[in-house]
Amino acid sequence: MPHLTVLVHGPGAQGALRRARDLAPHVTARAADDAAGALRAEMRVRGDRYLMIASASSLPDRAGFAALAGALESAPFVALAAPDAGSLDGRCVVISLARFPQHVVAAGATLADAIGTLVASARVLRRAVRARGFANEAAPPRTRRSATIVVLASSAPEVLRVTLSAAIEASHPGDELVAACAAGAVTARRTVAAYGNVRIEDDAVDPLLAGALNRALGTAHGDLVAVLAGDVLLPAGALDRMRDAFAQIPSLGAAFPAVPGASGGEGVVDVQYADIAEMRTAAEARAHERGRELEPIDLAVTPAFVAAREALDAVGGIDPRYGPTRRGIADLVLRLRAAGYGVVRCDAALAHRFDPAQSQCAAATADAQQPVPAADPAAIARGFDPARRVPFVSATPLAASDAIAPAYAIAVPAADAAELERAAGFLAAAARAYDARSPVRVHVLLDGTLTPAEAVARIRAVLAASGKPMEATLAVRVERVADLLAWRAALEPGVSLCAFACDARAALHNARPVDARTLPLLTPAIAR
Amino acid sequence: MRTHRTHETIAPWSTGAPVLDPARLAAVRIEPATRQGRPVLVLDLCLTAGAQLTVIPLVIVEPAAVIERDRDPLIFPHGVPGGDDFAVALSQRIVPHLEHLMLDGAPIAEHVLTLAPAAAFEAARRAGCFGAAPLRDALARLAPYRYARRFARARTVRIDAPDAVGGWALLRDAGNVAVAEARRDGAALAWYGEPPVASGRADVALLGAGGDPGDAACVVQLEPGPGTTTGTTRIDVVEPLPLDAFISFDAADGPVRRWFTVVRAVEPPLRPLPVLHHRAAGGSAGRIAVVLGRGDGLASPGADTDEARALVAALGAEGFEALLATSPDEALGADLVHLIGTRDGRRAKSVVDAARRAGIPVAVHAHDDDPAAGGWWGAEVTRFCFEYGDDERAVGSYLAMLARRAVTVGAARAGVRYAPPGAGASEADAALLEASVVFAATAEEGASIRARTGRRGPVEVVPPLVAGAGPAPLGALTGPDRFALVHGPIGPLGNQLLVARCAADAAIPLVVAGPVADRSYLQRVREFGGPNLIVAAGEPAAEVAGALRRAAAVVVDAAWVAEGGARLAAAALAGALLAVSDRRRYGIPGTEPRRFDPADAKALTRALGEAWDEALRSPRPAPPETLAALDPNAVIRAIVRGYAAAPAAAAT
Repeated sequence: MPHLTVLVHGPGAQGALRRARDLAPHVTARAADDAAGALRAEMRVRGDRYLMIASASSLPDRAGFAALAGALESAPFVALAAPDAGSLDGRCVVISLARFPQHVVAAGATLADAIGTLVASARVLRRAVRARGFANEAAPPRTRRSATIVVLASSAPEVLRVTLSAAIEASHPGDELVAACAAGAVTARRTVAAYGNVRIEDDAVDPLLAGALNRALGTAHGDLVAVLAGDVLLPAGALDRMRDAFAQIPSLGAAFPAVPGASGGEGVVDVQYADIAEMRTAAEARAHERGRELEPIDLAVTPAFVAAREALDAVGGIDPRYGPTRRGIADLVLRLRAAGYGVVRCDAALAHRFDPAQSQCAAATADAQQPVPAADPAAIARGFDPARRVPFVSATPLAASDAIAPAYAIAVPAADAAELERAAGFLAAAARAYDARSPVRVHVLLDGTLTPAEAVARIRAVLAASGKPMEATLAVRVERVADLLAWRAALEPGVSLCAFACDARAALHNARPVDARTLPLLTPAIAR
Repeated sequence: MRTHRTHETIAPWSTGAPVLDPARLAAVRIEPATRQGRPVLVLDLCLTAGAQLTVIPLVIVEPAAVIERDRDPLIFPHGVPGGDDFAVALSQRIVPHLEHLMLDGAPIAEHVLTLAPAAAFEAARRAGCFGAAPLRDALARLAPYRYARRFARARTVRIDAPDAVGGWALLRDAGNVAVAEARRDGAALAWYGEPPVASGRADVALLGAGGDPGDAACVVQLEPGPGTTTGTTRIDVVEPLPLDAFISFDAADGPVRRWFTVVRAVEPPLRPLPVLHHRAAGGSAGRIAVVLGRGDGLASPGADTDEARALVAALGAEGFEALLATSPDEALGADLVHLIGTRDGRRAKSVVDAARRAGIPVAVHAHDDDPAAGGWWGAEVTRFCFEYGDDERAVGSYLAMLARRAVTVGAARAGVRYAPPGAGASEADAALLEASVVFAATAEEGASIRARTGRRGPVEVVPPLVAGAGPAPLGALTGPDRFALVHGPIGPLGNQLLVARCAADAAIPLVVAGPVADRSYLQRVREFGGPNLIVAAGEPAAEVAGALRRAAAVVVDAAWVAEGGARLAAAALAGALLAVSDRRRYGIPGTEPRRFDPADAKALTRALGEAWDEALRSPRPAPPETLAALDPNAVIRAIVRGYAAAPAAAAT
């Protein structure tokens, strides 16, 4: 029996508390003057527990409570039980809190109204109400919902073209298409722009695009939001099957495709293919064999999923500390599960995630530097605390930084891992000295063998270690540059060029040299 | 589409061309039931197009999946016509009603959802037909026909009994079945289809009251009058309690709903049993107490029990005062204690310890397959592969995982030594270490015992002791044909569930005989065992067991934890081909059993099929070297030699 909280209201409430505490082994009981308000407050953090709200005169005895608990436990879809339909006005109701997802609020001026709201929500969610004489109205039909598709455009161009095309082909009329792009990612922007109906959401700060992704999530028009990393290929029909999952399970929070080799619950091992053509064949066969099969999971790590808008509204977006890495996705899934939403793997929807070496996807490269997350059943059972909600747009004033024009551009060339590692020390100092409001922008210029993904993965860790929220950190652009002279020529007029460790780059010789020691001297007025 | 292959009774059928238009779904019969103790709904679907019907019986529905559809809620029976789209369309017509039932919460009674006029369905329902009437009624009506499958295979069958058309529908894939003109009930004809009219003689007659058996070699009387059991075999039909108690002829499963009799039956051909008489030398003296290493060895007899009984008889003939002790305490007055098996390690250890304290030498028949090296694991996890797999694909997936040793349940993991807490694995090893003399069936077993336990005392290699028994009539139980046999306590240790599944896969008739160690396990055996499964619950008399071995084409031993090799040896003597787990230490000269991994359903099916084919193609008696190896005189001499060495060993 889960923990039981009893709210007793009405005359004699204080006197009834002792009886209430005897109802079950683990009981918290208290009297409530404002029963509806107390109900809402109690539902703020739900978790795996029961809540009974009863007037002192209608408080059941142990047998009566056992019957109500038995009704709740009779099936996993029973959410609310009362001795009879009349008791649903608040005289005596037991609620399985975990079966009401977080967005369901017991709204209403009176207790009867508040419970009426829960009963109405239960109908929509296909949750059963068990009360003698209660007439169960027909549930609304299960329908496919509109979607916003957000693609993280941060892969190698040839991979991005494939994945973006697949995502756009999977969309339906009326769907909204958004691509999150790094501000300096010219090629990615050009690739996205080739599809005229895709809106671009810029991210000037985070190389993993967490800020742009969260803004896209926050402004999405669709009832569902699909998030697809640029290194994930969804074959035809896969996205539809993920969307259909929300009609199959009304309380679903997120649906993931089956991803061969993934370390979360969305990972599958029984699929093998040699190339994309074989993969598409395997996906078709799997769709046929496993049509409509959904596997409930508590952990997922792949940045490819469809989420219910109401669920995202309740728990927020991707934590900017992690970005859309496996840790960030696992964190989102944990919040969804704790908030009472289902998360599933759609076994009929097979997705392919390109190898990081091929895709040059920064999030995938960053994954390699993170531990593999583990499921946390205890956290799920505790429930979701709204204080952990991740806002789509940062509440800090620093978030408005995008509008600040840079006065200084610091060029940090890095041709290989050794140079990147040397630059990391400088970047750490810069991230400590400046933030997103500073008129300083760092350009990490990749003019050798280093891939952008490798650079981003390393740099983001440096920025995260600065102690500032990711959306408030110094603006850093990672750019692959074949011709430093051309890059320099394209720099905005009025921006003063500085350079770190550029002795070997003739194109940057006359730029103002800067290093960690001289950084505060660059412009003391803005150094912090 | 999700499908199941359980409770196979009558596969989906059509009276004409299949009706595959979901819009023509006319009636859905809905019945609450339990599957493996969990509540489910069972649906029968009837689609009509004029006079043509398609009936899809035994669609299983999991209530939770009706609400949260992480799976298709409807699990169709194997052989359902139409494809995935058809199944989805049917589901869309039915599930909203089921959803309303689930959310409403009122107790669900058996009822019919009528979507279009269906006169044939209504008539069939009134007539108690399968697929239209409540299962309790329909199954009780069909039960005698289900039993009669064993008589009907590849034979002409005449049915002149109640529910004859339903019986024809159940048996038509087994033999050439016809129905007496007077039994051609209109409602049943419209429902099941048109059976041939019976004329002329038949091999098998299934009769109602007053029916004329004619010259049928096999006669089953479905309406026996009072006092008509003399000279016949009475078969009880247990009250069905779908789905877990489906069709059962074992009165221990529940109250008896009806009964019928097998009046005449054709005996299966019995292979001759070679004469291996024990010629006692006599002259021995002393009291020997034989103790079973299993606490339930007498109540639930296995090969170890057979061997113990044979040993007591042989020792008695030699002049010893031998007794089969019912408890270890009974053994203490003896001059020597002979422990048969160490399955229950604590019991074995206590027997050895008590004897040593009393200064009595202890001989131990090891029966040692080192069960901690995978045996206990397999016994624990195999049934879950069937119980967690709620549809055919899931069962297949779990069985594939089982074959890869990838199934873990609690502490039971493959690849590490595992024994359940009560097994006393270390105590069993200690008993083997401390015994005065140990008897092993093979040199390999002896070497394994020495290596594992560190034993230095004598280990004698002694083949199993087999006792013969005169044959008893078998035809009423098995029918006239060859079959595969698995004989031993029915429970997870015996692995009969996997054998039954594999025999059903290979369409090989299987007889599962033995005392019921776990009744819920037997339910699973029946659930997955297919239509040709014959269960003889309860230990058969020695004569019946002997006859079963002589009639069986193949004897299978897939046990995870076995009770020694006496029954395998007896089967080899009886000329049966053997399909034996590769865990079993078996080494009787002249017999080459088909080996298989007891976790690998495919390997088991293959081994069973090969043995079956060879047994039917080229039957042969036990070769001379087998007879020589199992000669009871040699076996007894070896055992007595071991006894002679025991006191000295005990003293050291």
